[in-house]
Amino acid sequence: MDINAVTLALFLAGGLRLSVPVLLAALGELVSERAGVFTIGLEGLMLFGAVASAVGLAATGSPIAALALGMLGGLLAACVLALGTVLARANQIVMGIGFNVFALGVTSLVRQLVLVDAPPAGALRSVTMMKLPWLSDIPVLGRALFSQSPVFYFAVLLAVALWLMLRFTRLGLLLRAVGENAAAADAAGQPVLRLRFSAAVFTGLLAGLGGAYLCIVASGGTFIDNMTAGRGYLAIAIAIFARWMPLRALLVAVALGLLEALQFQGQYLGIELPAPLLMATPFAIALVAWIAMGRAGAAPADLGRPFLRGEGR
Amino acid sequence: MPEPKRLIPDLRRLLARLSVPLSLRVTLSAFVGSLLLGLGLIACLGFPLLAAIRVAVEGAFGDTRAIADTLVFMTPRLLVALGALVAIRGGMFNLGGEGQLQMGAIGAMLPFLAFGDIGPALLPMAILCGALCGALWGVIPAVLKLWRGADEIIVTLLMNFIAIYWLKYLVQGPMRPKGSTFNMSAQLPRDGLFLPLIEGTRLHMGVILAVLITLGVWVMLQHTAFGLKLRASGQSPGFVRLQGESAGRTILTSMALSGAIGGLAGTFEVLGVQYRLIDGFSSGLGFEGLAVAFLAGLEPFGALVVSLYFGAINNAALALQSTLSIPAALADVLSGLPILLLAVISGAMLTKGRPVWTSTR
Repeated sequence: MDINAVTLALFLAGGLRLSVPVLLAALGELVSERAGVFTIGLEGLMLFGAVASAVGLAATGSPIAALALGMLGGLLAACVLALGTVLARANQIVMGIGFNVFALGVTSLVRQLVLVDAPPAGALRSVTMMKLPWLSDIPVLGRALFSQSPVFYFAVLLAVALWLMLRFTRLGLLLRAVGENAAAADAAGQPVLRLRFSAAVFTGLLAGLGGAYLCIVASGGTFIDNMTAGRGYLAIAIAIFARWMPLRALLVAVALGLLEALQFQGQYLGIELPAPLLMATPFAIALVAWIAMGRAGAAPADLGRPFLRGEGR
Repeated sequence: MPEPKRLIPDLRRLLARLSVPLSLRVTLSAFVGSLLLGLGLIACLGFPLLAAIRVAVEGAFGDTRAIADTLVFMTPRLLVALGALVAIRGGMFNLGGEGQLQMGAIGAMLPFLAFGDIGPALLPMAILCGALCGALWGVIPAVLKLWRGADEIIVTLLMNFIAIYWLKYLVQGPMRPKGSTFNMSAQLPRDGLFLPLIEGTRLHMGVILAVLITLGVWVMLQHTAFGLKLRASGQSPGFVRLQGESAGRTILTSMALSGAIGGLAGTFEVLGVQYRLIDGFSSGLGFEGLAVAFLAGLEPFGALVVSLYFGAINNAALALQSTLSIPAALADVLSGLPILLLAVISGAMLTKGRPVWTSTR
C-alpha cells in the first residue's frame, strides 16, 4: 500500500471513529422526537453516560462493563428527565436547559469525589478495535471501515434496525402515532405516556453509550469536565436535519465526522486549518445545512407538546 | 413574512404561560426544595452540615468583599437572562446567550487591538463594540428566520458553539501576543478597564450598569410602544400577521437588543473581571443565564433576584471549596436543580387542572 492510500485509510477511519458518539446520540434523539419528546437534555445525558462509564472502568477495570455502565447511567438520567418532560408535563425546553446545567455540575462533582485516580491502564483494546475477518484485509476500506470499535458496528446496525423498526413494525407505527397525534393515539387506546417514556429512556440509553464511547474508546477512560463540548446539541441538529430518518442521520453524522477528522489528518493531506476552527466546522456545516433546509418540514406534529388527556389541540 | 412551521408547534402557548409571573409560592418552593436537596447532598457526602451552612452564608454575604464577589458573580448571569427574556417575550426562543456572551467578550477587545492604548476613550468604545458584536450575533438568527424560515432554537444553539470555538481560535492565534505560550490575549491598559469601585474588592462598574439595564429593560417592556409591540408579537401570532411588514422589524430589533445585552455580559467580564480575553472564561454562563430567565418567569426584576441568588450560590461554593474542600461543582448542581423542580412542579400542577401561572394581565 503506498503512502497516499495509507493516509486516506487513516483519515476515513478517523472520521468514522469521531462520528460514533454523535451518531448514537442523534439516533436516540430521533426516536424520542418521533414520539413527540424534544430532548434538549441530550448533552447532559451524554455527560452522565461518560461519567458513569469512567466510574465503571475504575471500579471493574473492564471496558465492556464500563460501556454497559455508561448506558445504564444514561438510562437512569433519562428516567429523571422523562419523569419531568413526559409524566409531569414540564416544558421540554426549560427542563432540558436546566438538566444540562445540572448534569454539568453533577458529573464534575462525581469526577472530583470518585474519579481521583488515573484510569487503570491497558486492556482497552477490546473496545477500541475489532478487526472483522477477511473484510479488514481489503485495501484502504478494510482499514477504514472494518477495523473499528465494536461500538461503531453496533451504531451502524442500530441505524438500520431503527429504520426497519420505525418503518415496518407495529411499535414504530405506535411511536410515530404518539408523536404525530397523541390525542388520537390515546383515543385509540394506546398508552401514550408509557410509549413516550420508553422512547425517552431509549434516548438516554443511546446517549449514554455515546458518552461512554467518548470517554472509554476516544479518551482512554479519562473523564474530563464538559467533555461532550456541544456534541449533544450537534446531535439534536443532526436528528432534525436528517428529518428524523435513521439512515440519513447515519450519513450526516459520518459526513460531519469526516470533517472533524481533517483536524488530525488534514496536515498529511495538505490541508492546514487551526484546530479550534476545525472543531467549529461541524457546527457551521450543520448550521448551513439547516438554513438551506429552511422550514422544519415534516416535523412530528405533536413534537414538544406534553400530552394531557382532554386538553386536545 | 412567511409563516414558518414551528419546530415546536405550541411554543406560543408555552410562551404565553411563561411570560406571566409564576406564582411566588411555586417558585419559592422550587428554590427551597433545591437548597434542601443540596444540603442533603453535602450531608450525604460526609461533610459537616452546620459548618458548611455557616461557611456558605459567610462566603456569600459575610463582609463587603464577599458581597462584592456575589454581585460580580451575579452580573453576567443577570445580563444573559435579560437578553434572553427580551427575545423570548417577543416570541423568539433565543437560546444563544452563550454565543452572544462570547462575541461580546471578543468585541470588548477589538478597539484596543485596533487602536492601541488611546486613553479614556477606550472604555466607551469597548462597551459599544462588545454590544455591537453581541447584537450582530443575535440578529443573524432573526434574519435567517425571516429569510429562510429557519427555526431559531437550533440556529442559536449551533451558533453558541461556533462562537466558543471562534474565541478559542482568536486567543490561540491572532490575538495571542508574540512569544506568549498562554491562550489569552494581551492585557488591556488601565484606562480601558472597570477598576474596582471599592478598594480591596472586585466590585466593578459593570455591576451597576447591569442593574441599570434591568431597570431599562423593565421600562422598555412595560412603558414603551415598542415593548407593547414586542409582548404582543410574542403572545399572538395573529397580531404579528396583521401588522404586516413591521412584525419582521420587531423580531429584528428584539433580537438585536437581546444579543447586545447578552454581549454586554461578556464585555463586562472582560473589562471588569478578566482584563483580557481568555479561553474558557465562561464555562456555561450563557445556559445558566437562560435558567435564570425561565426561573424569573421572564420578568426583569425577577431575573435580578434570581441571578443574585445564583451569584451567591457560586460565591458560596468557592468558599466551601477553599475551607471545607467541597467541590465547587456543587454550584452547578444547585443552579440546575431549581429550574428542574420548577418545570416539574408547574407541569405537574397542570395535570391536576389547576392553573400554574396566575391570571393574565
